[in-house]
Amino acid sequence: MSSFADESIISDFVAESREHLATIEPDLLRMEQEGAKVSSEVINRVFRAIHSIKGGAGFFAFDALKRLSHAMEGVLMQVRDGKLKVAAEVMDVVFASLDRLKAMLDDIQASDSVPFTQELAALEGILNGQGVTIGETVKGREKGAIREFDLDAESVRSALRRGMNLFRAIAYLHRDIKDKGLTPLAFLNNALSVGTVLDAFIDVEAIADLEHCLDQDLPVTLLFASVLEPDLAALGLKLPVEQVKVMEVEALRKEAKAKAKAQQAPTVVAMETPAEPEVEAPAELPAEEKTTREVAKEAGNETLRVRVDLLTNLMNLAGELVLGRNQLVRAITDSQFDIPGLGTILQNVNQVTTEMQEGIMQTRMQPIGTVFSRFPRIIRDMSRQLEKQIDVHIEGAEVELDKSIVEMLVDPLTHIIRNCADHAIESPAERKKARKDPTGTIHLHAFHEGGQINIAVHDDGRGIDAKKVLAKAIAKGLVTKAQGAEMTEREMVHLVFEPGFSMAEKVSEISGRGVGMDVVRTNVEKLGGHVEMETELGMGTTVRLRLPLTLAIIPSMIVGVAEHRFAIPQVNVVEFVWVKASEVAQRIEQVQGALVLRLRDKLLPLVRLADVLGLQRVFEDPASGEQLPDRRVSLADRRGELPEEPDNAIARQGDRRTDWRSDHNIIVLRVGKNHYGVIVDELFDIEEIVVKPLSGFIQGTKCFSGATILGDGRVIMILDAGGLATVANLHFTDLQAEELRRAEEEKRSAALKAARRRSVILFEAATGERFAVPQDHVLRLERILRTKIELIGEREYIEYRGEGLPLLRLDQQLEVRPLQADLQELFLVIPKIPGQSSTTRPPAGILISEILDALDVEVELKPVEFQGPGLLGSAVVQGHLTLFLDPVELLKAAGLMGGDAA
Amino acid sequence: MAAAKSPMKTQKSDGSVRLNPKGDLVASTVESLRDSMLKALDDAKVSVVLDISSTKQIDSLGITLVLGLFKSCQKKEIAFSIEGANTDLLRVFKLFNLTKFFSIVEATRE
Repeated sequence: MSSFADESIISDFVAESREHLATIEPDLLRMEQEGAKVSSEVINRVFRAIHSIKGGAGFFAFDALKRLSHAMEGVLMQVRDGKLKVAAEVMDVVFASLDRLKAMLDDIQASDSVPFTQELAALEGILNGQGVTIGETVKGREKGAIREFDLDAESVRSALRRGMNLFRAIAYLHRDIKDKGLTPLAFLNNALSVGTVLDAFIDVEAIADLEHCLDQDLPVTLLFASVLEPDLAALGLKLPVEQVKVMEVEALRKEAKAKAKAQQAPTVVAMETPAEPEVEAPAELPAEEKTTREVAKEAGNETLRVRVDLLTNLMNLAGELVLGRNQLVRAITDSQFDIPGLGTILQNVNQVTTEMQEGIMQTRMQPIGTVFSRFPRIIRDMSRQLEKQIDVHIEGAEVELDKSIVEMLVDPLTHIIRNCADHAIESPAERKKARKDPTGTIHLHAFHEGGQINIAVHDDGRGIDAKKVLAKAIAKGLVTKAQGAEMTEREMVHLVFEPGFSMAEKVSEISGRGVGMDVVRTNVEKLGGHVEMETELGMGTTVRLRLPLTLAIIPSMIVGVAEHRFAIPQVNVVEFVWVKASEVAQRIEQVQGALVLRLRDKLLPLVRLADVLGLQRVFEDPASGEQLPDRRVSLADRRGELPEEPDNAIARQGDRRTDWRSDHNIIVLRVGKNHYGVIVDELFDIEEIVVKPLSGFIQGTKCFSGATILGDGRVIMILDAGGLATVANLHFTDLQAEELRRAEEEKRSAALKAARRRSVILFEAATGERFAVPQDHVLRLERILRTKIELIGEREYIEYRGEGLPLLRLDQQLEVRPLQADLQELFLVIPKIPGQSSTTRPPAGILISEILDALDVEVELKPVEFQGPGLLGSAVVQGHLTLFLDPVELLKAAGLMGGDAA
Repeated sequence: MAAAKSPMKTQKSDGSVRLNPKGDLVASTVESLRDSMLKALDDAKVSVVLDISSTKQIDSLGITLVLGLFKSCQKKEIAFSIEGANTDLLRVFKLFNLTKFFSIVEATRE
C-alpha cells in the first residue's frame, strides 16, 4: 500500500511518529522512576502514542513497524491495566524496542529490513509470562455518555495541512437519508467521495427506547473535512446548506477547553485504526483523568508543520531584506529631507524590516529541551551499564536557541554528559565511603545572560585532580614540564580540552578515546561560543558553555585596515583602546619578540591585523597626506624625540612618531577567558550584519568565520577572534608568565628601593670631610665643649650623666684627617647598641665637628678605595662625597664595646 | 388463521437473549422486528446479543431500531452487543461511531 501512498503523507507520518517517540521517552523514564505511583495520564499518553504509530504503520503497510509497535502496545496495556509491574528489565525491553522503532523510522521505506525479532520475542516473552496473548480484545466500554467530537489532533492537523476546510454537518437519518432514497452506507460513501469523515456522533441521550424509536428522526453529527467551499460541501453531502457549518480551528480548540473545564463529557482522543480493530485505543479515558492542562496542551499543539528549508530560505530572504534596508538607509539618508515624508517612510521600513527579521528568526528558535530531553535516557542506560545510580535534573529546558545551534550542541553536550556519568560520578560504594549520597546528580541548566545563552552541566562527582591532568598532559607531550610549572590550577584543568587528551586508563565503550572534550571545545568555538570548566576535588565539576542566541544576524564592529574593511562580531569585542602616537613608546613594548600593550598594569598581547592577514600596511604621510607603505618592523619605536633645536622644527613636524595620524586604534577581543588587542587603521560603525557562509574554497581559512555585505554594497569578511589568535600564534600562557615575572621583579625592586632608602645623620669631622650614620644606629647626639675632655692614659673621656664616657676620633680608626685642634665646640655621636635599652650606659661616643643634617636618602653605596672598620661605602649626598659608617663596628674595632674593650 | 411468521429467531439462556433477525433491517421489516424484540427483551436479564449474520442491508430505520434496542438495554442495565456484522454493516457502524457504544464483532468469513 505504501507504494501507492503519497510520499508527502508518508513523510508526515514519519515526522509525527518521531514526535511521538520523542514524547514517549521521558514518559517511559517517569514510569520506571515512579513505578506503581505513576499517573495513568502518563501511561495513557505513552499508550496513545504507540497506538498512533501502529495505526499509521498498519495503514501504510509497514509490517515490521506495525508488528513491533503492536507488541509494545500489548506490554503497555498490561502495565496500564495493572497486570504488569514496571521493572527495569521490562523497561530495558521497551526502550530497546523504542530504539528499533526509531531505526525503522529513520529509513521508513527500508523499515522492514531493520532486525527486530529479538525485541519482538522479548516483548512477547513478557506478555506470555503474564499469560496474555497479543491481540486480545479489550473488553469494557463506555456506557453511552453524551459525547462531542473526538478531537483527534493528528487527523485534524493532517486535514488542515492538505488545505481542507472543516465542517460540522448534521444529517437526519430519515429526512436526509431515508427520504432521499439513500441507505446510510450510500450516504457515507457519498460523503467520503467529497471529503473525509473525521468523526461522527449520535447523541445517546436523545435516542428513544425500542418502543418509540421508530417515530424519531435521529440526527447524526459529522466532523467532515473537505477541500470544497461550504455551499459546495452541502451540495456534495446532499444536505441543506444550513445543516453544514464551517468550523474554525479556534472554535475546536475552545470547544476542547470548555469541555475539559466543565468535565461533563469525556474528551476522547480516538486514534483511527483502519487496519487493526483488535486492540482498542485508550479512548475511553474517564473524564477525571484528563486535566485541563492536557486538553489545552493537545489543542495548543495545533501548529503548522513547516519545512526547515522553507524557513531557512525565509531567513536568507530576511537577511537580504536587512541588507537592502541598510543600503537603502545609507543611500537616501542624506536626501531624506528633500522629499517630504521620506524620513517617516524610511523609519517605518526600518522598523518593519527589523520586526519581520526578528519574527522569522523566532520561527527557527528551538528550546534547548529538545537536546536536553535525550540525556535522561542516555544516563539511564549508562547507569545500568556502569552499575551507578545517577539522577538527572534539568532546568531551563524552555530556553530557546537557533535551530542550527541546537543541532550543533548535541555532540558536545552528549560528550560532556557521558564524561560525567562515566568518569565523574563515583560508584555507589565509593560515594558512600566519601559520605556522599549513593545517587549522583547531573544538573543541566540553561539560562540567558548578557545576550548570550549559558549552559552549565554540573555533576557532584569526584572532581578533577589538576595535578593528575598535568602529569597526563606532560606524559602525552601536550605540554612541557617547564610550561607545566608555570601553570595555574585552572590552566591545568583546562588541558582536558587539548586535542588527544584523555584521562581514561583504558578505552571503554563509553568514553576514553581522547576525542571528547576537544570536540566540545572545537564545536562550541565554531558556534562563536566558548567553554570553561570549574572543578573541586571530591565535590564535583561544572562545565559551562556560553553561546550566541543566533548565528544568522549579528551586531558587528566594522573596522578598516589598509583600505580593506572587516567585521568583528560585537560579542567578541571587550573595549577599544586609543594609543596616541606619542605614548607608543611607554605603552607598547616587545616581550619575547611579541608586541604587548600595557593596559591597566596588565600585559595585553597585540597583533597587527594587516600582518596577520598578510596585507601591506600603509600610513598617511603627515607631510603630504599620501598613503605610503609602512615598512616599520616595530611599533615600539624607542628612539628619542628630536632635540628642541630650531633646525629640527621641520623634521619634528613630519615625524610619524608624534603625529596624530600615527595614533593606534586597538580593539580588545575576547577569546574564552583570554583577551588580546588587534591594531586596526580605522574604526567605523556597529552594524547588524547578515552572516553569509564562506565558499568552499576559503572555508579552511582560520581568520574568517563568514562574509557579509555592507550597506554600501561592498562584500567584507567577518573575522574569527579565535582563529586570528591562532594564526597570530599568541601564547597567552607565556604572557601570563611574563606578567608574573614582571610582578615579581617589581616586588623585588620595590624591596630593593626600600632597602636603599635610609634615614641618616649627616656630619663633618675634619672640615669638608662628610660622613653619614644610619639614624637607627644613633642613640643620641650631644654638644660638648672641648675643655670638658679629659685625657687618661691614651684615651680621652668626658663626663656623661655622671660617668666617664670614652671618646673615639675617626682618624684613630680610619684614614681621614683629624679634627681641627682649635674648635671649642664639638659634637658627640653616641651609637645605639643593638639589643641594649636606651637607658643602658653607652660604651663610647664618637667625636665630630659639625652636625649637618638629618635626612632620608636613596642611595646606592659604592665601595670606598681605602679599607677601614665600620666603613659601609660611599655615596654622593647633597652633591658631596659622603662616607657611610656603621658606628657600632667602629667602636668594636676600637675595643670600646663593653667586654671586648681591652 | 395461522400466526404471522416471526421475522427473527430468539434464543434465551440464563437471562441472556440472542436475537437473530432473518433478513435485512430495513423500513419494511423494522416494525415487526421491533415488536419481536420488545417481547424478547422482557426475558433479558443479563445481556442481549443482536446476531445480524443473516442481515445483508441496513437502512436509516434499521439503524434507529438498533439504537432503540441499545437504549432499552441501557435502561435495563444489561449488556448489549452485535455479532455477525458483514463488512458493509460494520463499515456503517464504524463510520457512525457506534462502536463506541457497544461492541460489534465481524462475521467470520468462510
